[in-house]
Amino acid sequence: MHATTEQLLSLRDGQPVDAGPAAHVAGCEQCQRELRGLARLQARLRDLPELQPPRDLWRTVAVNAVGKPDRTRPRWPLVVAVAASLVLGVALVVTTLQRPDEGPMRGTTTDLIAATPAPASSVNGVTRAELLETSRHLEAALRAMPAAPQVTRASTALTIAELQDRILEVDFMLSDPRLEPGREQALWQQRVTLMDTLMRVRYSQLAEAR
Amino acid sequence: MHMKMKNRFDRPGLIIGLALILALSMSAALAEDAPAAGTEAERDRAEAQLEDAQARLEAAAREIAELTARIVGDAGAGALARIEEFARGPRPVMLGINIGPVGGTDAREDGVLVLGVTPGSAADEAGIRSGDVLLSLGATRLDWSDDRSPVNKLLDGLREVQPGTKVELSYQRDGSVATATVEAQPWSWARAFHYDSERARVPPPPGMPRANAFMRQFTADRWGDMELVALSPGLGEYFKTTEGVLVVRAPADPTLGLQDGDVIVDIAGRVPLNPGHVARILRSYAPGERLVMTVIRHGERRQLEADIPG
Repeated sequence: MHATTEQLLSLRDGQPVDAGPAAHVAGCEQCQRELRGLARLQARLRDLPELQPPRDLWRTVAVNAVGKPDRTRPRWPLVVAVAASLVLGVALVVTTLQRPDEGPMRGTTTDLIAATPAPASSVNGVTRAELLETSRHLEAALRAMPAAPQVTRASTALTIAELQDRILEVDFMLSDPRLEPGREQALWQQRVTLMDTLMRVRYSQLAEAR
Repeated sequence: MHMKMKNRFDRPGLIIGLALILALSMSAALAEDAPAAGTEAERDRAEAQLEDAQARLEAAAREIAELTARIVGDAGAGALARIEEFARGPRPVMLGINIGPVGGTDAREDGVLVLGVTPGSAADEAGIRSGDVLLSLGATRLDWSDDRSPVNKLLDGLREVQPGTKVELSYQRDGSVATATVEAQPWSWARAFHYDSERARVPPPPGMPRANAFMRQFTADRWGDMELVALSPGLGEYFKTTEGVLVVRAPADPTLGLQDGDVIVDIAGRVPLNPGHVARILRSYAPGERLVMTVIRHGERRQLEADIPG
């Protein structure tokens, strides 16, 4: 019986694990391989440059996209982004302490993204209602983005397919009337993380196609 | 058991860490071409940096998807048994929504609340949105008239739907009632639930491909640089076909034998609809299998065969 992801993560981090799974991992090549993969991932995280965690990471990413120098290729037509915001049908307004002159241009896709709440899954003690609200905002913001560029790299198509399939899987599980509340909360957190990730990939895909 | 599960899901550090990589990669993807490209060499360098940042971002995103699948799969056999129960049903179909009772579990209100719509699903394309209240499925009203819950009526009703047919859903949004026609997509193990059955300690349902993280990685590494576009009517006329996906840039890896300008019209009997569909089909193969593909090249159909390294 192979170790679960959680058990492998605990082993990697030197946290206590039941004797049975620990002994299994010690003698199982497949689990050892998984463990080495998780350790490599941790090393990659450690190698990242030091970052002062921004108060609102999502907004920071969006703001970084603004005010860039002109490119040799044309930007997305502004009218498309404005039309997208109209399709969204709700006024998404920048609401934080950020000064107005620092904010993204109103009516642009960047504005929509900046106005999307930070992923609730990254916030401790978040309620189910907050997760649902964030999920709904992300759905609306995704839908409001300009259409994907016609020519798509296979790796991008694969990444989007992977994320959509995981969301489909989570949605299937969330529709089960017998779901326990704790499990439901966990699945909503997964959904918000996946939706947020999909949004970033789509946004980056559009930025690259400009 | 409950505590263990809670602990498992209360541990978001890894995924948050990956999300951070994703955000950093994204910032890089958006910023690395920032220097105004004055010369051609600078432009080329900026574009190469952008591609590299994009690749890192996508790799982190796929890793998040993979880890999420594993954490969901780790949740125990109970949830997976329900998936099996559903998939073994006579005609399992998917619409791409997640649903709940209107007003909460004890409210006994009529209708079914849409809590989420899967991006890219049939329901998404038909215009169903989170927050809509579904009122009927075909002729079946989703109410409490016979003491069965509306949610159960919808789920039972969907079990009667033939895959590939269209169902009519009436729904209420902002006080108005409208109808959407949604194609009931056939259940496809190739599209969903790539969970690792060995890890989850339940036997895989019949016809379900085993989890294949290797092929996902292989597809991204070997063929990720391929550029594809779905055929528009105009392109289709030019290439003399009504279906398929055009290869704008063939992968540098020669395994598939594709060339720029090929139109992929069939992969082992499956007609690809768009670039995402091509990616899904490619990742469904297992190491050691032979992949047979039909392309149109210079106006002629030809068959390409490739052996996936084992």
